[in-house]
Amino acid sequence: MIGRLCGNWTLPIVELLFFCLPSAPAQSTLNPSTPVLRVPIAQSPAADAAGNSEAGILELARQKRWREVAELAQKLSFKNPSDPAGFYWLGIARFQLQDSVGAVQALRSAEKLGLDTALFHEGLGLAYYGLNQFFLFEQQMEKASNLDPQDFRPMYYLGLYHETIKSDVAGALEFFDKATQLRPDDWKSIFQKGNCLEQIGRLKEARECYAKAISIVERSRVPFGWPFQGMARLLIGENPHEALGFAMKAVEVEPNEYSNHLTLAKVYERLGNLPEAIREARAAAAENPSSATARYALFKLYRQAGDHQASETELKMFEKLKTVYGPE
Amino acid sequence: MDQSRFGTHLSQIILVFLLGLMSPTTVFEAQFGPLLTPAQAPQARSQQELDAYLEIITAPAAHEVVNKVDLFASRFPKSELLGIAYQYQMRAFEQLNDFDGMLTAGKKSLLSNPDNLNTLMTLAPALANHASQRPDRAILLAQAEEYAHRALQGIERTQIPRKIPLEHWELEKRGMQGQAHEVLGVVAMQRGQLQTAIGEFETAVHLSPHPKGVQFFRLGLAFASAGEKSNAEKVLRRAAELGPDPVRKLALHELKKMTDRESAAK
Repeated sequence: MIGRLCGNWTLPIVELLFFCLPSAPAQSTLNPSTPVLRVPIAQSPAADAAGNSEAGILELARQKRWREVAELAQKLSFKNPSDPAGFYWLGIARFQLQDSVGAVQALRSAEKLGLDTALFHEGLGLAYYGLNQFFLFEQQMEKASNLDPQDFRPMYYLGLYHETIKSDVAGALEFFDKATQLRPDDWKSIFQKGNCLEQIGRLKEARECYAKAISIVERSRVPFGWPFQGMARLLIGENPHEALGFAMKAVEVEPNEYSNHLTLAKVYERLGNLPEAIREARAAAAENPSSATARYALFKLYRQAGDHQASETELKMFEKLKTVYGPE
Repeated sequence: MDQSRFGTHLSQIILVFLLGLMSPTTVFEAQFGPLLTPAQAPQARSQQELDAYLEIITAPAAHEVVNKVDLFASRFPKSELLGIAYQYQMRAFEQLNDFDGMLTAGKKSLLSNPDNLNTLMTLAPALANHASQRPDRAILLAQAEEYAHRALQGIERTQIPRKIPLEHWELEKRGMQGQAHEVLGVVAMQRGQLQTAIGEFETAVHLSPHPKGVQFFRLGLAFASAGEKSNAEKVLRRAAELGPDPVRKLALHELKKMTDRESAAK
């Protein structure tokens, strides 16, 4: 059972919406901050009435000073309660401040005042997502897509939902496929498509997707390690030396992502370099102390290295983590 | 066992509950907090349904929560969120010191989620606390005992979200187990099963990551009721050391009574 669960180690689960990524021009297209940063003031339904206040809010939003955005937006909504702009910005700021309840309430106020744009519905959908309200999330993404059929993001978000929440890889693939059709250079959608293809065993196509994502990511110098990790996984069996380069690159690009270390550990194991494999598996466990997979990797590696005491310790930890946190 | 002394000790244990000195209940966020998997989250089927639910969880006053939950239940009787809404109502009734309301809301919540730890860990001590004042005492004690046992089983089975560190969970778990054993101790005490009560209170102290004065006080009273004077003195002194003030006063008072009784006996 243990072997079946952990023999292949787990595929990475990419953080939904990439909350943790530092901002970069290409990333901002998929960062939750997108609705804020992408809305030109002139497009806002209440822009003329709101005037300077909204311009001030936009400037603060560009600087990601969300508390100040929230304060200013609150004032704007008090001053002009029939203007959806204040409520909209309040909702976006609260969402950025991880207050999804407040975000939904403010955005719903904006909606009741007539705000009905694709970006607005994306924002509200993401706020619903933050509350685990997926039925409403899907409704909002559908509205956003209907209002702007050329926008790839609703497809991308729906793909992530199908992949991470519903564990529906085939369904996710369809959405990522649509997203890449609408935006052929979006490296996150391309990577996710590759990830889905890998999970359903279409490895050749998966490799093409990872290669394409890597090419775009390298060109735009974005710190995004996932396609490197994916490529390393695909190559580990047939060409572990080439896999090593990709696995090392993934760690270099995103050293705080535990699964990058875990993949590198697996590559080192394949190459027979147990000390390095153990070092990387330990790094993975340090980056993600709740990962049973990292502990299982350590159990196996210590056992191979003949360190039975350490191996037993790691096995106990693995069992404990699996009991407490459930399957990874 | 000296019946009159036992009765006094029992009422003091109840007083400790009434003073709000029970170890604080560990409460997980009922909804929108950490869930093991988001896919398990109850879903609103309309924006209006979620709006009404959010009004409940953001209502500033307990009586508003009570009213809003009733309204929510009438508007959305089949809502998946109803069980959690009743949890909020149960807590609101608790704040309003409305035991019957709390019990009703808690039981409605348990209909949706029979093993919800929040609900079980709220109802169990409340039932144990209020039983002595009620004609249906035996039934309430049995319910308190059942809920405490269910909570203990649930705690063992609980799987937690990954964002909660293991060490943090271990402490939380021990704290919750300690609380459940405290409830079982109070139930046993009310039934006059002193050795069981002592065992449960000792377990509660042992499990608690940071044992509180009130836990030692309760154990001290159980020892005293059972005539185990030296043990009683020892733990009552510890209770007085740990406080807080109301517990310290009660513990010192109890110690003084024990000394006075001893002097009188001589």
